[in-house]
Amino acid sequence: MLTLAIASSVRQSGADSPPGRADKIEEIVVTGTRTPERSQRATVKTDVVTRDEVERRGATNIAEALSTQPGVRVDPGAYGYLGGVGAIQIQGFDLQRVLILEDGEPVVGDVGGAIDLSAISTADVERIEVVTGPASSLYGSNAIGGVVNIMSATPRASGPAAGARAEGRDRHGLLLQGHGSYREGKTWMRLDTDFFRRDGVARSAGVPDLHLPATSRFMLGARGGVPIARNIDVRVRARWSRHRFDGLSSELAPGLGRYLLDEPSETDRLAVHFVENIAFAGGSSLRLTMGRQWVDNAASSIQRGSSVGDRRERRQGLQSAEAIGTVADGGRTWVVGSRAEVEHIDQTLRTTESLSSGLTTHSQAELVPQTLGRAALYGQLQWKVHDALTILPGVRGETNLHFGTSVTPRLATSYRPMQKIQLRFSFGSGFRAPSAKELGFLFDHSSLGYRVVGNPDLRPETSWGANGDVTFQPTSASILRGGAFMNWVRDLIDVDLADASASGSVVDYRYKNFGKARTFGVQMFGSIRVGPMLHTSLTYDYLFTRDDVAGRPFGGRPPHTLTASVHALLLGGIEADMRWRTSTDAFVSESIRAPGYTTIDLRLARAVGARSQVYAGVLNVTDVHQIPGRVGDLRPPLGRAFYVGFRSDWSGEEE
Amino acid sequence: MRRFAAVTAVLALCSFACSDSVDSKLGPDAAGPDNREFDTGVELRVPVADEGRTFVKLSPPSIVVPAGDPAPSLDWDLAFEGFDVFTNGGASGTGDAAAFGPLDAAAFATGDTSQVPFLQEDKTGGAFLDWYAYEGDTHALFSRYHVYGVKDAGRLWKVQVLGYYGQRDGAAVAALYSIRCAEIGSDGVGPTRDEALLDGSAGGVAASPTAPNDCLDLASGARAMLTPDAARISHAWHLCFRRASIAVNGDTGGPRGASAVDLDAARTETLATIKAKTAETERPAFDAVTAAAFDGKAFRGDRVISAFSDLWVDPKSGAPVHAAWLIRDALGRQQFLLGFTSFENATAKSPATVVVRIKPARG
Repeated sequence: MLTLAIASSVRQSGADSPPGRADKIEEIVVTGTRTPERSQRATVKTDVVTRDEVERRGATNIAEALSTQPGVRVDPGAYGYLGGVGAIQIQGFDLQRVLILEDGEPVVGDVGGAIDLSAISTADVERIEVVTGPASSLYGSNAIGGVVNIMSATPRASGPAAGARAEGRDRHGLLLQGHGSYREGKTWMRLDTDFFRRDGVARSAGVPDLHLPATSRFMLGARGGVPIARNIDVRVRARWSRHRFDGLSSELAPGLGRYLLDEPSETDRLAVHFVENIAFAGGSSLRLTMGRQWVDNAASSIQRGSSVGDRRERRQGLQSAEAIGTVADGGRTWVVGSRAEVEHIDQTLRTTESLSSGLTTHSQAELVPQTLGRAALYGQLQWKVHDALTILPGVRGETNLHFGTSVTPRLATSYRPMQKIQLRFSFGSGFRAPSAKELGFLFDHSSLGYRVVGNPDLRPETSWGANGDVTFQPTSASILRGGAFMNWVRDLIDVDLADASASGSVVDYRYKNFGKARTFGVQMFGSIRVGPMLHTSLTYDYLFTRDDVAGRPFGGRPPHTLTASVHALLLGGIEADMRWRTSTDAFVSESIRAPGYTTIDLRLARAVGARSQVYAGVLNVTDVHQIPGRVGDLRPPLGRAFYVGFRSDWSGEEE
Repeated sequence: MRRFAAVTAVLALCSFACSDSVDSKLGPDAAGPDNREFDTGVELRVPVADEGRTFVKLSPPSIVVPAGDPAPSLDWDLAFEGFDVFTNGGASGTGDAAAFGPLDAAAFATGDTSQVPFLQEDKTGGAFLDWYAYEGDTHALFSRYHVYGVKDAGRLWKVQVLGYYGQRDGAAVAALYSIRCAEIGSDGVGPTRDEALLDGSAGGVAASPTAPNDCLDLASGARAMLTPDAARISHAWHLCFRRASIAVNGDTGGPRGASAVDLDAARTETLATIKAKTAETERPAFDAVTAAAFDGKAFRGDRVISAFSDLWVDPKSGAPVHAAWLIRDALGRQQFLLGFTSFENATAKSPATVVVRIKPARG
């Protein structure tokens, strides 16, 4: 919501925009309905974080860009058991219950069920769209809590253009981003690159262990578009990235001393996406896409100076094909689509031990190689009954090779009884297909007396969700909005520790459909712009969660969150930004609560000439941070961070 | 994964999961029983003679007499023999029974067994049962530096375990023991000898149960890598080192007739105190042990140890400890909670009648 304020504040996004320029153009969003709509009038509420807003937030990756976004949470501290990944929570749901898209394509390569948003660079991002509430009627599995769609930029200016950004950060942090593009009519191409690195963060004095590993990220992207006929254009996108962690821990061997364990983890990700758009008369179109992703991860834990340790290798891939037809028929817009996907995943653990016979290495498949296939048909009608009322029914049927068919309907409506007031309501179903891990995992700790095993008989999780909000826009410079949501989920999949089966001396714990839960939330938002000099907004989020099987809340969900932002134009052409977020304490377990905390981010920027900008900022001014080893501590693992940078954009010809 | 710690944990828990006694137990109520926690479930009165075994089935709670040889039978879950309780699994039977305890007595009332990390099958063990303290946070094993006596055919040695970790292939490796030992003869104490890198890793984490481990002859210093079956019939050793357990070649441990005693068995120390000890600081305690220290001590060979052994009877009062146990039945299908409420007409050899409450645990 805050971003909407800033969107109305506003600035045309895209690296091609001159820094500091503020066009009063409302954002166009597509994720909520798969049809272009103005964000403020969208039938399904869609929040937008523009590229400029991403930079104003001091973000170098998508996790940071969304870390103070109202209505969502990105708390790496909550996922310390996964290595502190930047996983997102929407409406109380996280991990595989939130769908992450890049240009409309699902992102694969999860870590423990979570897509690590900190591994995704902002270099080629034009905007991030966040749809809250179930959206499986359009996107299928995982869209229970909501959808995040990371959209890339296309060059707007004709001729050549280029841009660069260089930034230094605490802990020897370095960010380098660059892009070059060329456009001539509808033919264009763009290259993007990104490099980021940062030292690790020590766990505590006296031991060499790292609380946060050293990290580095490198990305290369190439995109292009060309018309192959008067009404047909083709786009190709390829993106390769490498994300590396270098963790370090130590362990005391009584009598021998402390031994170091190097814990590197490296993920290579390549995504190729092909799109053909066919335009028809009257605004109708057909979009054909084919995509493929490869994700390879290798994570090790090796005693330094030896080869004794573990190496876990995971390979994941996704192939997809989709056809989406949009038929414009006066006040009715039909969207009809079909999609087919094949996903493959396997995981192997290789262990090297020192035995009396010498160094010995053995491998075991932790994840039985899985190939998952699914096909879907979906349709949606966007019916503009009259100027004030839009009704949007939709339904999707998906057939999965493992568990059969899921049908997920949604009905959304938008009503403007008067120009200054808009009411929106949607009610729909979501589902999550069992993951490859849940179907075929084998975590073999037989020697410790237990195994965690997959279950091929799992059913999908299913949900129903209702979302509604009222927007009051008394002036063009101010907005007030209040909304609420409610979700009911059943057949949640988890390991049921209370229902183990013994086989010999080994106990097997299986994934099962046994969970049932509810989430409920309220959001109040206000934004006001005072001339061109000051934009400010305030958002309050309330979240209630209930695990109806365990009879307690979800862990790590602060019930109250307050977010405020101020964007001001100061003397001397200096832009100032402040973001403030306070979260109350949160339930973790019956005996543990996560402490509440407040973060404040500040940033100053000044244009240098017509196309460049220098900036400096500090994230988490008060240096609130996690205490290593404290269970359930949701506070940021990384404390205060200063940064200073320079960016410049150049184009041979204005658009 | 914290590899080194995990290996340590695996090797430790594979052998004597509960042998670290108080350090790994979950806190029985020592305040004295009023048995309020045991007012649910079914009461079973188990007659235990001075000799022989009494067998118990948990579902329904009953005394049973297995048909034929009890060893391969799945008709029983628990066996009482004197002041020992055995389960039908591991070294005691062919079933899948295993147990964990003692748990706080309140666990019986609430049915909450979420604290239970694993169930332990019956295993063989003896004087060296309590040689280490286990630190759960780091999964590290710290020697308590107790001094043990090992007796064989009129010869006596004193033994002190110095460590569980050794360096090999550039890495710290768990279950590579180091010990010091010295023979105590009629003419005094012989020279102290250190033995290092005694390989108890038994093939590592993924090895089969038949992987060999180092066994040591204290007299000659000879070592032999023996499988458990080979060790059980071999006279060539006094002590065998397998994962976190140290076996003595006598009784159930082997045929040699050796026996051992823990001179410091009665010593109670905190984990912090134990962690502060080193091989050097404990050398004087080892050197101070002479033949006189073993006068009147009861040496014994290995025996079968269950999750109940030495833990279910309060040594001071002679009454059952006011605590609960979680046990899986011989078929491996169901778990039960047990709470012992009293002994009736106990003798020096047996509790005579054990009064026990039994109820199914969740799952």
